Amino acid sequence: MARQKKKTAVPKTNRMNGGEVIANALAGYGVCTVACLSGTAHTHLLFAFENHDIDIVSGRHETATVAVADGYARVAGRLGVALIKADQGLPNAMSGIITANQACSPVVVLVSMLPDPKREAADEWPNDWLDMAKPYAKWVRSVPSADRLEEFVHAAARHALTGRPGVAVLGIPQHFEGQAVDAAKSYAPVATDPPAPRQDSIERAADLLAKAKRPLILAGSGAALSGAGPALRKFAKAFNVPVLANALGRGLVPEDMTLGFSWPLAQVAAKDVDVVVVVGMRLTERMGYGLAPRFDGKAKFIQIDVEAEEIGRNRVVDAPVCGDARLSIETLHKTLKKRKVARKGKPTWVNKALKVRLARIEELGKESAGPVHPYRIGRDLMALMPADAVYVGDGADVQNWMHAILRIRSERGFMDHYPLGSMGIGTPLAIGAAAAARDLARESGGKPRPVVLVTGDGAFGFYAAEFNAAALSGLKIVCVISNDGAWGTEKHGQLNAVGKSINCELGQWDYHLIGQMFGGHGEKVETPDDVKPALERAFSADTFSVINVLTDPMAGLVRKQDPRVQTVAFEDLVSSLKAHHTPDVA
Amino acid sequence: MPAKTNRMTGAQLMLRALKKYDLTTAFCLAGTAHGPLLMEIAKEKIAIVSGRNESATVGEADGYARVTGKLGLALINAEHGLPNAMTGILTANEACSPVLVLLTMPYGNRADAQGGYPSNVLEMVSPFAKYCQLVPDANRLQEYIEVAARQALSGRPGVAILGIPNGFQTQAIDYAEGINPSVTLSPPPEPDAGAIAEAAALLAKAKRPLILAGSGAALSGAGAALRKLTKAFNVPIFANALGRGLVPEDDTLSFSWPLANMSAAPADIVVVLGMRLTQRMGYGLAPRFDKKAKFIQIDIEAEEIGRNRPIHLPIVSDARRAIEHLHKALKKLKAKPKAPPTWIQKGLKPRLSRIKALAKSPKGGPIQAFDMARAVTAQMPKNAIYAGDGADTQNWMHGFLRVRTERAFLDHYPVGCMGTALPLAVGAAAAAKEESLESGKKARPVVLVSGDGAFGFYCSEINGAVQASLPLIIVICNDGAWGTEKHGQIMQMGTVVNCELGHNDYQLIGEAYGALGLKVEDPADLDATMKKAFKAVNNGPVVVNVIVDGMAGLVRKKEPLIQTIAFSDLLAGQKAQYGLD
Repeated sequence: MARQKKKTAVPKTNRMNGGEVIANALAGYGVCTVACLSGTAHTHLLFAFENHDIDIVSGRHETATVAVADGYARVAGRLGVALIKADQGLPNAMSGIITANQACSPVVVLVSMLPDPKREAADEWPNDWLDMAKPYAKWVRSVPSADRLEEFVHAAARHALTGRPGVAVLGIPQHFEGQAVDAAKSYAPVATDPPAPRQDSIERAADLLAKAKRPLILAGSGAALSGAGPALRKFAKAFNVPVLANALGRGLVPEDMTLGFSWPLAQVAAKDVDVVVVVGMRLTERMGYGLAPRFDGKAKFIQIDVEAEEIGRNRVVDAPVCGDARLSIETLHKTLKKRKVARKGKPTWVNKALKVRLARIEELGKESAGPVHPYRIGRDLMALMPADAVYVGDGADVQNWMHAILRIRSERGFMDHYPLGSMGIGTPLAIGAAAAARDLARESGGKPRPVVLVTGDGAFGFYAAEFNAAALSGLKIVCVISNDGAWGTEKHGQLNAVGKSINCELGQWDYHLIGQMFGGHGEKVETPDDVKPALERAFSADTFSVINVLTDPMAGLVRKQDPRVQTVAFEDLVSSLKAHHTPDVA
Repeated sequence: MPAKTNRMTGAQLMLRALKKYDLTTAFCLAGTAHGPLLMEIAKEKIAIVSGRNESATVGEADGYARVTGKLGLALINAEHGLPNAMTGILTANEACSPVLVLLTMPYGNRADAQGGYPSNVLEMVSPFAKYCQLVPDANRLQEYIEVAARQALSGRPGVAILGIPNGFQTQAIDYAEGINPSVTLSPPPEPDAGAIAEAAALLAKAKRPLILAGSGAALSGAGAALRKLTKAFNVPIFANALGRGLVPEDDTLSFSWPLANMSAAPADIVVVLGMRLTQRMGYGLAPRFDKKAKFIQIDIEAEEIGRNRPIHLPIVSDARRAIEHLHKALKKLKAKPKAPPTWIQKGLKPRLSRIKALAKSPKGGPIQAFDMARAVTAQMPKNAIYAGDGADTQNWMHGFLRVRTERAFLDHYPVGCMGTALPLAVGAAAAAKEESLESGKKARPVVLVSGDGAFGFYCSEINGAVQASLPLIIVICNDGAWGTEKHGQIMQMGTVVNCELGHNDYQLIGEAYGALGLKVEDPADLDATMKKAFKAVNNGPVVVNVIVDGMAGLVRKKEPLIQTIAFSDLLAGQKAQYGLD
C-alpha cells in the first residue's frame, strides 16, 4: 500500500517538538524505514517520520517489532529502529531484544514511558521500567529531559553502531515527544574509524599461516558487520584458503563448494585442518567450541575480533588479533604477500571430507510421489532463488535439512534465529529484510532482492499475525512452511529416546489460510512434484506468499539417527568440553 | 542411613509432589525438555494442554488457576523459552494467580563461561515473580516443588518459578522414601477484633456505604460471606477483576466497577476488600470518590494497605474471615439494613440509556460495537465464563456484561498486555471441561471477546484448544485497527498514522486450526450468528469475526458518559492529593 508522501521542509533550527528532534537525528543515520507497533505512545514521532518520508512498518507484537528492525539492520547494514512502549510492551519485547543483541545487530529501540505523575509509589515493578532489559542489551538509558533528546538519540545510535554492534534501548517519557524544545544543537553522527590490528599480532598470525598446509578461515557475523567480504574473497582466492561461514558471515565468499562453504554443512571437514583463522565469530557450542572432535586437537588458532574480550572463548588462541575484521584481513593479506608466502594447494580436502555426507544427502528426498521430504523444498528453492536472494531460516529440523542444500551466494544474504534460537522470530526478521531490500533497491534503482523465509509449522505459529505488516507495507516475502504437523525435533527426540512421543503433535494445519486472510498468496502442497510449481507461483506473485508444504512427519527420525545428515549437531560435543575443561563431569 | 527403598526417578518424584496439589491438568509447550515428567503425567488421568508460545502456556495455567482456585502448572524451557514467558509470568503474578512454572535448565556442563546471558538464566524473571529458585540436587525435587507450591498458594498468591536442570528428571533418586518435607499450608490470618468493631460502628452509622471487591476477595473464597452481608444490610458492592460475580451483578446491589465507577462519589464509607487502589480504581481519590469519604481497607498483605491514599481503618486479614467477622459485629450492634441504594441506579441511568441508544446498528450495517456486546451477552448462560481483551472492546463489553457467578471474569489486567486473555480463556476452558467431565454436566462455555489487534498476539493457541476439544468461543470485535490508539490520534491530531490493520478475515485462523469459523457483517445476522456459535461450542472451539464500525471508538473518546475505562479525569485528583503541578 503506497503511502502518500508529504513534502514538508524540515526547519534546520528553531523550536520543534521532541518527535521532530528524534526523527531529525535518526534521519542523519540514513534511516529510511522504522518498525512500530501501533501509535499513540509515539504519536508525535510518527508524524515526524511521515514528514521525513520515512516508512513505518507496523508490528503486531513487540518482539516482532524489534525483530523487523533487526532484520532490516542485518540486510541494509544500517541502523534499525523499533518503536514500542514500556509498561505493556517491554515484557513482550524481551526475545526480540536478546535476539538482536546476541546477533550484534545495530538496533535502537525507542521505548515510550509513562510520564512520572502516572507512576505509583506502590508499584510492583522495579523503579526503573527499563531494568528488565538492562542485562540483555548493549546500552540502556532513559532521557532525563526533553531538551536532551537529540543528545541521547545520538548516544543510542553510536552505541548500537560502533565497536561490536548491538541493541541500544532508549526510554523516552512519552510527553517529551510533544514538548517544544530548542533543536539543532551540534550533535551529529560520529564517523569513527574502526580499530586497525597491531602489526606484531598480524606477524604472529602470518607466521602460523605461512607454515600451514591446510589452513581454514571461519567467518562469522563480525566479518559481515565490518564489510570484510571483498577482502575475504581476495584473500581466499589468492592463498587458496577455504572459508567456512556461519550466520551473517555466510555468502561473504559465495558458497561455491570450492572456496566458500557453509559451516553447518562443511563442519565435518574442520577436523583435517592445521591452522584456523576465526574472523568475527564466537567459538560457541554451535562451532564445536573450536575444540576436538570438531577440530584437530593440534590445530593452531588465530582469532580476529573487534572485541578483545571475545578472543579466547572456550579455547586457547595461539595468535590473538584485536581489530576490525576487514582491516585485519587486508593487513594479513599484505603481510603474507610481502613475505612472498606461496599459494596453498587447492583445498580438495574439504570436498573429500564432505563426500560421504553429500552422497547421503543426494540419496534422500528424490521421490516424486508420497510425502514431501524437506530436501525437496531446498532443491526446488535453490533452482528458483537468484544469487542475490536473502534467505531467512527458522524452526529446528527444517533448518537442519535446509543447511544441506542451501548455497548462499551474496553478502548479507543469510539470517536465522540464532544464536539465541528463539523459535518463530524468522518471520519478523524476513519482513525487516524485505523492507531493507526495498530501500536499497529504491536507492540503487534496481530490483529488490527477493526474501525467502523457510520455517517449521511450530515456529510459524509464534508471529503469524506479522504477515499483516507485510500486507500493509506491500512487502514481498516467499514464506515456505515445512509442515510436519509436530514440534518435529522434540517428537523425534522422544521417539528416539523412549519410543513414543507426548505433547509434540500439532496436526498438519492449513497455515496457508493465514497468508490468504492477510491478503497474501497462500497455497497448500502435498506431493513432491507440486513443490516447484507452487514456489514459482510464489516468486511471481505480487504479494507475499505462504506456501504450506506438508512434509513427511517421519523424516525427522532419520536426522536423529544418521550423523551424515546432521548439519546442526551437538551430541558428540560433550566430550570436547570434558576433555578440555572438566574431565570428571558425567 | 535411610533405606534405599522404592527407588524412583526425578520425574516420578516430581509427579508425586505435584499430585498433592490435585494436579489434573498441566500446560506444556512441546516436549523433550520435560519429556520424562510428561511420560509420567501421561500414565495418570491428567490432561495435558499444548501451548504454542511460552507466555501463552503460562497464561493458560493462570486462566486455569483463576477459574479453579487450584495451582496452575506450566512447563516450559529456560533457554529460548523464558524471554518469551515474561509477559505471561508478569500477568499471572500481578493477578495474584497461584501458578507454578517449571523451567528446564541447560546442563551446567554445557554452559559457556562466556555465555551471552548472565550466569543465572533465572535472573531475568526473579524480580517479576513471587518466588524463583533453582533446584540444586535431584534428591531435593520434592521439597522444592512443595515449597514453590506453598509460595504460589499461600498469603497473597502469585507465581512460583523453579529451575530444574536437565537430567534431574531421569536421575534415580536415592532416598525417595526418606524424603518427607513438612510443608504447611497455614490457615489464613484473622482480623483484629478491635478493628472489626470499629469498622462495624462506621458502617452502622454510614448513610451510603459501598464495598469495593477485588481479586483478593475471590482468592479467599469470600463470595458466600459477601452475598450474605450485602443482602442483610443492603450494602452495595462494586467489583473488579476476579472479584466480579462474587455477588451476582443484578444492577440492584451488585455492579461491576467499570460500569458503575462514575456512581461511587456519593458513598460516605468505602470498604476496600482484596483490591489494589490503582489508577484503574481512580486511586481511591476524587473525582471518583468523595473527598470526605472514609476508607476501610481489608487486605491479607499489610504492605498493600494505603496505596495511593490514606486509609482511615486498615485491617490486615483474610478477606473472607474479615467479612464474616464484620457481619457478626454488625449483627451484634443491631445495625439496621440501609435503604436500598437507589443512588447508584440514579447515577447510572444516563450512562445506561446512552449505551442502549448506541447499541442500535443501522439497517445494513455497520454493526455498532455496543450492539456486538449486546448480542454476545444475550447468549451467555448464567454460568458462562467471560474473558476480556483489547482496549476499546473491553469498554463496550463492560457496558453489557453482567457477571453472575464466581470466578467467571478474567481479563489481561492489571498488567494489561494485549492478547494475554486468549490463553487465559484457553486455561479457563480446560477448567470448564475438566469440571464437566467430573460432574457429567454440560461444560460452562468460555467466551473470549477480544479486539482484532489483541487477537494477533497468541492466535495460534487455538491449536491447543482444538486438540483438547475445549468449550471456547472467541469473538473478535474487529474494527480493523488498533482502535483506541487510532481514535486517540484522531482526537489529538485529526489524522491517523500506523493504526489501521484492515478488517481481516480472522475466522480463517480458526479454520486453519480446525475450529469453526464464522464471520458476521450485517446487523440482521448478528444474533443468529451468536446463537449458532453458542450451539456449536459444545463440539469445540468457535471463532466469530464480527466486523464492527471502524469509527465506533471515536464516540468513546468524546463522551465520558460511556467510558467504562476512564483515566483522563484522574490527574486532577492526584494533583490535589500530592500537590503536583
